[in-house]
Amino acid sequence: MEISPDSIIIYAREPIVLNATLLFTWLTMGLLVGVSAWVTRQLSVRPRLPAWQNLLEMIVEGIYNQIRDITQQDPEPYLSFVGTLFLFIVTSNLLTVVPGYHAPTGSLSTTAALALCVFVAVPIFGIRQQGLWHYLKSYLEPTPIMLPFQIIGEFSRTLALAMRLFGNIMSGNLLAAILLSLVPLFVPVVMHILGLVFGVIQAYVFSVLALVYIASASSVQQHNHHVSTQENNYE
Amino acid sequence: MLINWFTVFAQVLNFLILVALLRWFLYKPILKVMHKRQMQLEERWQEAERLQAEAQQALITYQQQQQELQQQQAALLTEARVTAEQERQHLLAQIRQEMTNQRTAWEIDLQQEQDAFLRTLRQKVIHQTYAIARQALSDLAHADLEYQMIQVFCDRLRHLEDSQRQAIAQALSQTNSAILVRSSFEMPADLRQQVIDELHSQFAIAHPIEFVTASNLLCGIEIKLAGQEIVWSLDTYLQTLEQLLSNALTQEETSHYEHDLPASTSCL
Repeated sequence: MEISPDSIIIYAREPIVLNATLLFTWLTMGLLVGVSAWVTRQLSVRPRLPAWQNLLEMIVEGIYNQIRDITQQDPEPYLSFVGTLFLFIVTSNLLTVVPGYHAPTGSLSTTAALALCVFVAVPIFGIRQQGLWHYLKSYLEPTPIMLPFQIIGEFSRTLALAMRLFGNIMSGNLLAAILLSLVPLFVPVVMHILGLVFGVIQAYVFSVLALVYIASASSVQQHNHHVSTQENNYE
Repeated sequence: MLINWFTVFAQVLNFLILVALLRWFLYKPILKVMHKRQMQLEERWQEAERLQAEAQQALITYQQQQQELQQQQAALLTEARVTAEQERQHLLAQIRQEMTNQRTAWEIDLQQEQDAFLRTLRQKVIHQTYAIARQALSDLAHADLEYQMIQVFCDRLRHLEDSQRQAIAQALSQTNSAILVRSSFEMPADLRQQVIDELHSQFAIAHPIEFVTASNLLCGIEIKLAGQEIVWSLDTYLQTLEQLLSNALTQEETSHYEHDLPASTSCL
């Protein structure tokens, strides 16, 4: 039994290895982009909206408002990155109900890649908002002695981000597979439903944590306050 | 090993591509259309507020116009009442004037009727008195009324006042025209002679004397002597009677009118 979809090799020619993770990632990407392109090809400004446009507007507006509520800043710069994180993760997790689908988020490589993206995005957004000097100076606050701990904190939270998502999705899939082998009827259905709920929650947690890290780095004054309060809330 | 580094980098690349694609196909169009809709809503809201303000203004204008109309209506009503009252007073004055005119006309008519009645009455009374006197004298004393009348007239000639007698004599001495004796009846010859004799004896004249019968001279005899008149006539008595009757009628008419007039005025 495979723990990670990475181990399902579809095509391999060193160093290129096409595994199930990449394949289902592309499928998920294709689904997201296809639906978006299909719905947004002809948008209506009038109050009476087509159903699909209404659904997409609800999603985008929901993400937009969440970002604004959490960061207390203009959501526009963060919308693309954080919104894509949430949509990709939640779509991947929800598609696990499709038989034969392996969620890419069940792969530690995917979650590590996403965490790596967050790890890189934090200084990029921080420098873009504050400038290089102010951003680097934030690592020396409140005292330069804290610099090593700040650096360790950066790496550890990236690792925690990756492991949290991977662990939850992988464990859900694994639990469902184990229960399916032990109790073939009813119980796996309940576990699948629970898996869907957990999948949505984990997507939300991952996105909000990434948002908190990025937004806190973007604002020196609120850095400590945001990190401590928001991490406590979501972890 | 759970981490495949090739997959990690591929996923990083996939994620970045997905971010770019969703930014292009999802966030930008959706935000754009939402922003546009927001602008439209704000425009409509502003338009609605503008229309509401206009409606409010129109309502205020309408209320002002309505108030002005009510004031005009009240003014017209007051003017109409004043005009109606003036017209009423004018009509009342007109009616009073007509009543006064009618009353005057009625009084004139009454006066004319009264005069005519008195004239007729006088003539009838004279004729009746004459007839009664004639009949009474004839039946009781076997005397003729004309004869008695001539006797009384002659007696009056004899008893003229001195001043009147002198005035007549003086007047006769200045003229030679005939003396005219007018009587209401055809005087017999003996009576004519008696009158001539009496005139000759009283005034010593040689003037010619003419006798004329005058129907308008009611039961009497009259002599014109150089502008002076000596008359005895039943008309003299009747004039006194007429004056008394006229006074009595006028008094009764006035009292009757004073009783009727307040009632007729109050009806108006």
